[in-house]
Amino acid sequence: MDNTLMIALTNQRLLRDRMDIVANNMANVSTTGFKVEAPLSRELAEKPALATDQPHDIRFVEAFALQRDMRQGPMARTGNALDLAIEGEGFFSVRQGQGTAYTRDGRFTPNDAGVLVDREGRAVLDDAGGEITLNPQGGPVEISPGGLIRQGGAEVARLAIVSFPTPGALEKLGDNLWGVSDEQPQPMDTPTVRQGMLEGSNVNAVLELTRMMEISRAYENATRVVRNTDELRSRAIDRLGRVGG
Amino acid sequence: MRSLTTAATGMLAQQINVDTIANNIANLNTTGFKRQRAEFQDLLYYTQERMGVSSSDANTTVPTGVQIGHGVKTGSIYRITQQGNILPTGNTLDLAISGDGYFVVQTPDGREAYTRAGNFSRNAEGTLVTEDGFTVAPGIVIPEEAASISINRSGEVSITLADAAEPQIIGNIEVARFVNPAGLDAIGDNLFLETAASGAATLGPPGQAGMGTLMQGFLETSNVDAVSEISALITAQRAYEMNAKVITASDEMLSATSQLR
Repeated sequence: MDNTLMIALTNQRLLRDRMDIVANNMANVSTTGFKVEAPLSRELAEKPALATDQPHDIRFVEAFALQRDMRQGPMARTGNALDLAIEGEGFFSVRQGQGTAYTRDGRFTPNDAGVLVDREGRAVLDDAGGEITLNPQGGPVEISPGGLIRQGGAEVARLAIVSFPTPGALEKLGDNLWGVSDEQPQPMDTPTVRQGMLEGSNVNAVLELTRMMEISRAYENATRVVRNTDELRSRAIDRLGRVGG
Repeated sequence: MRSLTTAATGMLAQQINVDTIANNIANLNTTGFKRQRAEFQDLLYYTQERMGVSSSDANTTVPTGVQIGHGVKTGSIYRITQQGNILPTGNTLDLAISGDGYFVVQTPDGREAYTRAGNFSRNAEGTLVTEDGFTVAPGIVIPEEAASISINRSGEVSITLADAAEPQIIGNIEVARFVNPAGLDAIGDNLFLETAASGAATLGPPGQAGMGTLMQGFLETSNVDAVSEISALITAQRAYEMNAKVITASDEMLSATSQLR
């Protein structure tokens, strides 16, 4: 009988995690370049106690991986020359401490020295891994779909745009940044950079809302299972106690 | 439950978004106003199961892991320094900058402030001042007897006296540029201050080295676009509501737990 309680508990824990992830998706409904995610669950290989001699295969459940939807978010025109969006796959590279982090958030700006930085002041990297310096007197900046930055007709640098074999497996670092885990970045030959545009979050609000309802109902059901089991047990104790007395 | 606070960060972010949009709409008719945009970033992630860790003896690895986010934060409120429309006013002391640059203004506390609003006038001494009476650098005094004042594209201020045929130059209006104008500190009254983020001001005559040119008798309107602000407002409102729904749902889950016994 203990199994029912424990299984319901693992289910509740899983549902809470799912709810947390849905809440995070919803909170990031207007975060530039955000990619929606959903947990994947699986049955645990280990059987719970007292289940080995039973005919039914009873298993616990747990969240083991995240499914990231890397589909394109909606593109919005901002008219700002240094707002960039990548159409299709690819990430911009920025300097994060000693290493490099990757982002789909292309809201860049020159800092006081003219170096192209993101909103937190991290330098945007070019294809040679260096900083990109714009000349404040150099006139308008043009960025080609291939990531080539031109200012006043003269070439300045080429943005480092990289792709990953499994982008969903990157580690999210917060601040719209992604870090490498197992994956190695590969420079992209033909990226599509759109100047003056930003990629919105690809969270589908309707989908998340239905998911949310599903979760809260499933949670109620799990709770009911716990309650029923509890009642069953209490009744059993009651009856058995009567017989014994 | 984490989802409660996560959804709260979402509501907070949308509140800031609405505040920013409200300020933009309120300044629909403010001379030289530059619209702002609230920008969001995801918060830190709690890694429940790390990606890439070994999941069996057979060297299989967890492909994506489980990372649970903590919501959203406002990364910055970015000022979009796009050119506003240039409207003719017919007023001789109305100036607009077509292109990059800011007028330099001396504030009463001795600091230099920068503005795109060129609705200037003369004070009792004849000095060119802003709406608030702050001197426009470098402090051009227009004599009382001047019959006409003309300010050309490169900032030369010349006057024609009633009894003279030739105009005479009485001063030059200079404009300032910044490497990162979005980094300027807005202090209200259409004024901005230089910051470490904006870089130091580069002064120069209008029309040279990337500076915009002056237009006499024109004013630059606010660059707020009412239609896009309203649609942004609707989106923000819906996003707020959805985050509130998440809080309700999380609350229901919590109450289901607490009613177990």
